[in-house]
Amino acid sequence: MNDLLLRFKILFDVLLSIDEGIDVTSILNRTLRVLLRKLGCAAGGVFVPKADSGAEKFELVVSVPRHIQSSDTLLQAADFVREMPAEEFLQGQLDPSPVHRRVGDRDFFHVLTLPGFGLLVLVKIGAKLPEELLQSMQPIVKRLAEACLAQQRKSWLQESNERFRALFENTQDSLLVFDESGAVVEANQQAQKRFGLSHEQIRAAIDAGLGLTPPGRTWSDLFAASGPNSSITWEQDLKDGAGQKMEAEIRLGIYSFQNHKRALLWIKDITERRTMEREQLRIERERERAKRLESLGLMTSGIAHDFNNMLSAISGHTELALLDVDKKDAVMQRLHHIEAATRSLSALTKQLLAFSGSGRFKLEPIDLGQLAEEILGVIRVSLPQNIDAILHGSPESCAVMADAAQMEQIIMNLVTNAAQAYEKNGGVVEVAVGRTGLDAKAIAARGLALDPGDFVILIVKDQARGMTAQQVGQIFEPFYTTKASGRGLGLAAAQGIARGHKGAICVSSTLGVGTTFEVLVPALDEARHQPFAPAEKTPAPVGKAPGEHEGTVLLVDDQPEVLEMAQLLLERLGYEVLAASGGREALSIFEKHKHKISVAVVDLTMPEMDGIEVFDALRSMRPELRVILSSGYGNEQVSLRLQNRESAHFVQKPYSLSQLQTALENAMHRSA
Amino acid sequence: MKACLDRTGTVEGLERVLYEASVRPGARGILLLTCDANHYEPLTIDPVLKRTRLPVAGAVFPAVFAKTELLELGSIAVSLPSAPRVLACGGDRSDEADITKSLMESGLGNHPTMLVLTDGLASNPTAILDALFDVFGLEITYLGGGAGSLTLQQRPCLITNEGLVRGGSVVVGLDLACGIGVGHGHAKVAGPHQITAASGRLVRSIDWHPAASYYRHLIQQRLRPGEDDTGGVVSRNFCLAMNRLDGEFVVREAVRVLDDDSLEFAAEMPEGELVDVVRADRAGMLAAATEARQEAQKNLSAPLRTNLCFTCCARRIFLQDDFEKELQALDSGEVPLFGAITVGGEIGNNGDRYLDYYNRTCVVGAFEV
Repeated sequence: MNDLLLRFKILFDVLLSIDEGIDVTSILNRTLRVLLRKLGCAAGGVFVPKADSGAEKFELVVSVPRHIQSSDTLLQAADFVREMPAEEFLQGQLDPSPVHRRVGDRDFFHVLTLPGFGLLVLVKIGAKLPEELLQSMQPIVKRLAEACLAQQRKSWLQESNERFRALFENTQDSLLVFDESGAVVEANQQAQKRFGLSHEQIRAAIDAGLGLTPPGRTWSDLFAASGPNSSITWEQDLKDGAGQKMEAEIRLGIYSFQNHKRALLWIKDITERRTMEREQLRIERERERAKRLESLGLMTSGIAHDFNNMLSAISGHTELALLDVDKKDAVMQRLHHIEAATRSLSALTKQLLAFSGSGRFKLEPIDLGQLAEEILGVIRVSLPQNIDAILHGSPESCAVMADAAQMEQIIMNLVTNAAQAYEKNGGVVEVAVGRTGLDAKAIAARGLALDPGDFVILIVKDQARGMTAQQVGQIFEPFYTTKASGRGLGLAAAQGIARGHKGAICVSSTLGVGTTFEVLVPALDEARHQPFAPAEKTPAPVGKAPGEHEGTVLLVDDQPEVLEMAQLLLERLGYEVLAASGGREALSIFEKHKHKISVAVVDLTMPEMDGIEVFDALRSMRPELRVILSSGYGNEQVSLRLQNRESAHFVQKPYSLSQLQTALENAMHRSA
Repeated sequence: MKACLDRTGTVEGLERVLYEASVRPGARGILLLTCDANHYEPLTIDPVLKRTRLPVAGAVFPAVFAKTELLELGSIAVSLPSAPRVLACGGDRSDEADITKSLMESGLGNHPTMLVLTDGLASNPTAILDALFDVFGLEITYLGGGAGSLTLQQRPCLITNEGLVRGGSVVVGLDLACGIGVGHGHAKVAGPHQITAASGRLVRSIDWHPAASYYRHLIQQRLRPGEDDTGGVVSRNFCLAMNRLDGEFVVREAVRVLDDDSLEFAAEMPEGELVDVVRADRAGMLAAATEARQEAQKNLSAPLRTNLCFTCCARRIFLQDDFEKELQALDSGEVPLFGAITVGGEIGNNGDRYLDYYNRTCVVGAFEV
């Protein structure tokens, strides 16, 4: 009787310990302690099935004492349980009867099944627990398993809830749950922050911010028409609690919760994304435009080159004809017209070359601020009286490595355009020059394709009529003009020049407000350059009348008409001319008349052997030979190549008799 | 193990035995068993303890003994041939988690035997046993008991080189094999009864009756003709015992009746526990002492060299003059015997069951050195 009561008491205490546990571990811990104390056991543990490398095995989750000791009994018990068929247990096929195992002579361990949960192991030293006791423990063991499973479910549920809560609260998007009346049931922290702190404030903010329903739909419509798990997405501009505009992507999902429909509104702030997309599009368009202009420039450059060659022949022959024709002759007048037309065409081809970025550059260190000041001084004289041009200088150095004439052309173009934009009203054209550093972000923001670095910036600003966005988009295109007179090449050429100097021009304009142009040219690294070293004074060439010159000139050009015209010009100047229509022929002639030839005039662009190669070959044969290179275009690369050959001279096609004469006299004089 | 005795109970006497024990050949540490009647204070003996060059661990007990000589004044310093690892852990404010942490960090786990000396009047005496069981399990042999005073006033009673402290426990790891024997000699006379309201060591009701009155009533029903057990406020002949299913029971001795008719026991009495009334019997108790000594020797897998014993103060109160016979029963006559009379419980476990306090029990540790 006493024993029975004691067993009953043990079971009662176990039940109490189960109820006192707050989680699976504490339930098992407490229960194990009670059992060990009451049953006089040395140790106990609970094992649960766990997937291990694909095979189900039992794993110890709670033990009392906490650490499995090294004694044989405990280790054998643990090993025995770990090898028990976990899969059969999970499928409910394991015999639930208690298992006993003897270890050594007198010790035992007992394995009891915790249905659906795991196995309970009790280690008894020196005796075996009575069979009746273990049988009578079955209901309690079942209760223990149920309590653990319930606690485990509760824990999983809690964990799932916490995970959901973490996702709900930590997203950067606003999440709102509405009931069928349209009342806010739940709002995450982001929504509370964006729309207000209380549900009422959120509701008020939403009501003020366009109602938050898809266009043309109402809450009641949506709930009535939408089945569970349906969703709809749209974009809408909203105002947040602070009245800030927000571009939003909204997804509305209808779901069922406790037999009621609920709406989950997922508001994603896409303002930044949209801004970036717009910016990306702008940059993309800018790039496309730049590419287009580049192709156009390439084509223009080729045409201008050929055109220059033809012009050389026309202008040369015209000039010779003018020398040959009697001044009273009626033809003289016509020849002057032809000469004027070729000059005009020559100016046009220069513009075309400038636009293509392959105009002839004579790169030298110049101070853009100083240049602007000089040019403004000249321009002011020609500006209408009601227009003023003022310069905001910079205390910093505005040194750039540039072709002064080309820079001058840019400033002239921009300032003249700005002045003309005022039409008859009058106003002020502001010009500012300074130095600025641009990083990749600032360059991207301007939609430019430049390498980050220090730049000299020239700003030309007017407050005239401004331009439409469409006009701004087309302004740099060649032959586009808003003026009654003009070829539409000024800004295209300016941009070409800037590009040729590894710089850029950008424009911003607001209709009715005004226009601002920014010219960016890489600043000169003064640590590496002596920007304004005193220029070497070149003594003025000694001017001689045509026909007074002596010496033999080797003339090389692949264009027969140019070759013929240049030969005539040189002969007219008094030179003996040895003409060659290509590099190899030139070298062959030079070899024969090496000591006789005093100057070589060589075309830069020729098939097979170009001018630079001929130059190098000639110099290798006679290092002191005077060489003048000529070309229809002298692009920057050619300019740089010429810079490396310091004793080379250059004459731009089409050249006149006097230009050729000057070039020859310069060459002769310097080399002497 | 060799002991040095001081019978004066003075600080000088303590210093002398500590010195003698420390200079013994092979001495690596000292176990100090000292008497409450010495009235040692931290101020006076801490400098002595700190000066001792060997590790010292010990406690203050109502009485100590060497062979059959009982000392109520003085000290016994036992030279330990193996360097002990001493950990003072847990105070009155520490819980089981704190103690567990201390034990886990202590490095005590490598020692096969642990001497556990606790403040027998501390508020949380079972915390150390639960923590020891949890951390080290039953691979280790535990031996020890509660220190303190029979006045039941809690005073500093635990000793280390750091000094004399109050509350908590001193755990001493020994690299020595030890066999344990436990005996009490009580027999069931009534029960089971249930502890229906209790908190710690305080029992407020038994079988839903006020604890003290009901306990007295139960005892009076079991008095033998002519037996007088009403001299004190609590019984000397009877105790309660908590049942264990393996037939063992853990004796719990009532030590005090409180004004609200509740009973204070020497160790924790859990609420809901089923208890029997057990009777103490002189012959049975003395026989239990002998059996404990024999069992300890049997559990030692090496030749016996020393017996260290912790016996409950209640046994001495019960046996009175016959306590000398208990000492004789504990003394094999062949090997040295040292020990102490404990307050609040005895500890002895050979690794076969949950670690618990005993009351009215004598625990013998048989050592190989």
